[in-house]
Formats: sequence, structure tokens, C-alpha cells
Amino acid sequence: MNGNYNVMNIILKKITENEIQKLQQIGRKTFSETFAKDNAQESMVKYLEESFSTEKLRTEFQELNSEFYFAQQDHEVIGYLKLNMGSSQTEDKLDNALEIERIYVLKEFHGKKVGQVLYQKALEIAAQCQVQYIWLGVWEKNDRAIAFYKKNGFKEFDKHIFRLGEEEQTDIMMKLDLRNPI
Amino acid sequence: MKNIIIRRATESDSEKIWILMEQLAIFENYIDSFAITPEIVKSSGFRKTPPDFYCLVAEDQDIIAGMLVYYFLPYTAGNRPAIYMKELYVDENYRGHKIGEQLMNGLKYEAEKNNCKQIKWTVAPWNKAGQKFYERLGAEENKDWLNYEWKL
Repeated sequence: MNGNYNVMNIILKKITENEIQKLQQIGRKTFSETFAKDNAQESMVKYLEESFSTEKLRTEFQELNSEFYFAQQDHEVIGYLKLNMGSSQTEDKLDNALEIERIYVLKEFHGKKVGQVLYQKALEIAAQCQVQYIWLGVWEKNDRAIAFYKKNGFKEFDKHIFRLGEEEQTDIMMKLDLRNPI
Repeated sequence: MKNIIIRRATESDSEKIWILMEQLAIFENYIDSFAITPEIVKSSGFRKTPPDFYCLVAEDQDIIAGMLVYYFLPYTAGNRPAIYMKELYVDENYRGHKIGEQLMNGLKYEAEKNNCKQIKWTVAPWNKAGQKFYERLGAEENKDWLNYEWKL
């Protein structure tokens, strides 16, 4: 379909409804790979169960203000992207903005620019929809992600609380001003 | 009727979408050749990748009040995709609530996100209300091209 492109054998593909199960698998796997070592197992299991339930993902898929993309290599899903606009954003602190809610790559593919390809897609959609800002929340302890966004021109502008089970964690909110990029 | 939600259709909507497709076939006088069943809607719209068609629905709680079916035309002279709107229908009981307009706006939004340059469709020459509706939304009749077809 349209919007697919190919960089170093990585194909970006908009997901369809019958791929929700694949989305669930990659969603759970990447989330636990990223956070399991730093978090209580009980909270993690509960979060993975609830936040990636088939019903929840189906509802998110139906939402016109949200877009999901897979990064694929040799037909295998190796990463994914979830974008939100308008009322689907998890915070409404910015007008005319696009949120990168999730951008995850399987650990074994880290360092291969898969995240960069997914991020490019977010930039492309932001340009097509003519939003002023791209923003996201990132766990304050996720140094790898924070470094990635800083490198791409994002600046911290707020904080919010993310609940993982019973625990409260601080997310740093970062934004990129597309009209005044410095 | 305040809480109409415009969203992407999913498999569980198949039966309700089919009912509206059948109503449209009656309205546009092609019910004689209407060969679609709820099973076909399910298999061609929701169980294939990519699907044969895409669909937006207007939902009022559990009721599907309207639907819009479209395809992507991936290759155009401008090297950007376009969208062809195949069907737009609002249940008779839900007319006059701007549901058609909301569905069209949803389509425009989907087009924008997919980098489309154009959305096109046809309307029956006798359907004056439909023509007025599209013109009110800023669409224009294409007078440059004639529609041809080859029946097989």
C-alpha cells in the first residue's frame, strides 16, 4: 500500500485489523524487554495484560486519530510505532501537535537504525497533517531514548506521571517545534 | 444523537455494514445485481492484508448509523496516492445530523495521513440531494473527464 518505503531492508507498513495479534506480540515483547529489568514483576505482568489486551488494541486501531506502523524485515515485525493526534493524545498540553506514544524496536535489532526509520515516519505524518509540534513522554530512566530524542532536536517541556501497576513513575515530556527548529 | 463517533470499521461491524450496503443498493437501484453477503464483507474487508476495501463507520452507541467505503489508488501522475470513495450511506433514521459530513471529514483526515492528493467519487445524476451535499462540502463536479467502462 501507499506510504511504504524501504531503507536497509526495513519496510514500514501501516497495520491492518487482522494484524492486531502481531501488534500485541511485538507490543508485549518490546515493552518487557525495555522495562522488565527495572520494574517489579507483578506490576509488569498486570500492565502487559491490560494495556495490550486484544480489546484495547482493537479500540485503539479503530481510532481515526491514531496510526500504527510496523517495521518489518523479511516479513518479520521487528518494531512498531504508534502516533496520536487530536483528542487521542494522552495529554493535551500542546495545540496542533502529534504525539509519538510508542516507538519500540526488538532488542536484537537495536543499533540498526530501525528507530530512526520509524521516527522518520512520524515526521512525515506531522508534515502531512501540518502540525506544529511532535511530542512524547519518556521514562526518566530510559537514557537511551532520551539521548535519541535530544539528538533529534527535542527539548524537555514538562513531566507527567505514568502508572505501572501500583507504582508511579515520572515521564519526561519532550517536544520538537517543527516551525522553529533549533 | 449527540455522541456520534466516526471510527475505522472492524470485523465485528461486518453484518451492520452489509445492511447499509444493501440499503444503498436499493436506493441507487442496483439491488438486482447486488452480490455481497455479510461473509464477503468480512473476508474481503477484514481478513485480508491489504484488505479489498477500507471502511469508516458512524456509530451511535451500538448502532451503525452510517458508513463510507473507499479504496486507495496507489499510483497517480503526481506520484502521490489518491482515494476513490466507493460508497457513502447514512441510515434513513439518522439523516439531518451531519453524519455524512462527519464521515467525509474522517475520510479527508485519512487521506491527509496517507499523503493522498485527491479524493474522487461519482454520484447518480438524479441524486440532486447528494450533489448539493458534496458541493456544500466544497467538492466540485469533474467536467474534464467522462466515465467509460467495458463490461465483461
